[in-house]
Amino acid sequence: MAGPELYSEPVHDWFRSLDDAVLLRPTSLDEALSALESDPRAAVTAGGTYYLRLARFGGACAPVLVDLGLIEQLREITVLPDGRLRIGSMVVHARTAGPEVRAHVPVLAEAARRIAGPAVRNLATIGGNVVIDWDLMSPLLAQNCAVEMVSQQGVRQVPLQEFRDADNEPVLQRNEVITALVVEPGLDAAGYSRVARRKAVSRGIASSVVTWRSDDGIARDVRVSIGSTNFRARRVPGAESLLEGYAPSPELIEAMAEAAVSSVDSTFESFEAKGWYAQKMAGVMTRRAALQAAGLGASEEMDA
Amino acid sequence: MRNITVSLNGQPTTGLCARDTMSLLEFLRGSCGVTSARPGCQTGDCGCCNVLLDGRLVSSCLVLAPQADGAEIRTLESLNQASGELSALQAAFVERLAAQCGYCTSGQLMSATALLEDNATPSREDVLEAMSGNLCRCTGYYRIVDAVLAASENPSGGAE
Repeated sequence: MAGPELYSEPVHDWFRSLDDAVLLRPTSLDEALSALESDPRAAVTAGGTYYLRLARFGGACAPVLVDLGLIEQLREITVLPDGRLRIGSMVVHARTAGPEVRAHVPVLAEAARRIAGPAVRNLATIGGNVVIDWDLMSPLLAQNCAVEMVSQQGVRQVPLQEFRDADNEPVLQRNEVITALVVEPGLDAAGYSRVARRKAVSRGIASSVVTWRSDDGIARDVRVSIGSTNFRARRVPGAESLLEGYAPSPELIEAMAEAAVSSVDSTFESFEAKGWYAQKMAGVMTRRAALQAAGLGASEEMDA
Repeated sequence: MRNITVSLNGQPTTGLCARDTMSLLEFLRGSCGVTSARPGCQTGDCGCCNVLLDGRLVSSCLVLAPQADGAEIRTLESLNQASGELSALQAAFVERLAAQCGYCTSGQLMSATALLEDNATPSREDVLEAMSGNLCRCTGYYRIVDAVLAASENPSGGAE
């Protein structure tokens, strides 16, 4: 999982404790990029709810922190001409849960409504959530999210599915800033389900989004994604292909859940859950999300 | 090292920010002498340090003090009515024994304040949702929820 190791090479000699870090507060993206380009010790800080939290308890901290909090253009939410929604990287979860996003991508808004707790949702950002591979990954993957990154060398977009390399590290360079997440509009049928040790605040042991376009009762363009404390968030093509071109049924949904279970490794343990449990929950969440999408019941409160 | 100036409970307040990464919580307690916000988990999980920053409920342990420069901050101390009487929310907490050790209480009250300013007539589920970021080891939570609901039903109630 991405953590202080993100900064571990080659600049480890420069790391100091959080107490020694200098905070820069640029008011424009250009100013932020210039700070990142000119000082190899500099790194971005966004909502401050993860890396700085780790640093406060002894984790590594870059000596120069470039705070994106004053850059208004990173908070813009716009509908693009192709219908996709462009969400600024510094948009906090409380706003992602609100009407601007809910009108276009309800399943993303629902995930943002349930992530973290009320106070943290006013600080944590969608861009940061992608960097740490946290709970918003499952709806973002399901909506074919693209990550827009900018440096002084230019702009690039990377599909979210390609945002992490083979070592599970973000492909984001130190001198780059994630400026926006671009997502497709929500489809007709969508469901989201999540389980965590604590209903609020805790990271989801497993979460799932199942969504499709309904074509006279037949499921088309099926997307199934899962995220977890125990494994990297992913789409589940094996589950998607089971439903693609068919009418949803409890039997098909059960098979999709089994496919989700098969897609993950049960050996990795996290603080929140044993590996076998996270794997099992991947299947349970997929089933619940699919049942919701199909209108076949499975409310979260009923099952909790 | 720099001075930070905020509007603290309606009063312009300047305090020393000893280092760039001083948390807002440390700034309030150490530099401003306002101690209602308390250090609990210091990771945003417990709610003890909750304050209102420009009208938004935040974990002050996660905000860096320089990020609050020029902001409007409200803490528990802002809830007392001008006459010194407890607010309806505070009175409800007292009447319903919604505090025992009291350590989480200021954070609970700030979360409840944020809720009632956004939704003056919350349902029980709304209260549970709004208070879900606040931990309490003493009360079992029900009295806290009851107190918030009672305050919403009697917003003009207060006590000496």
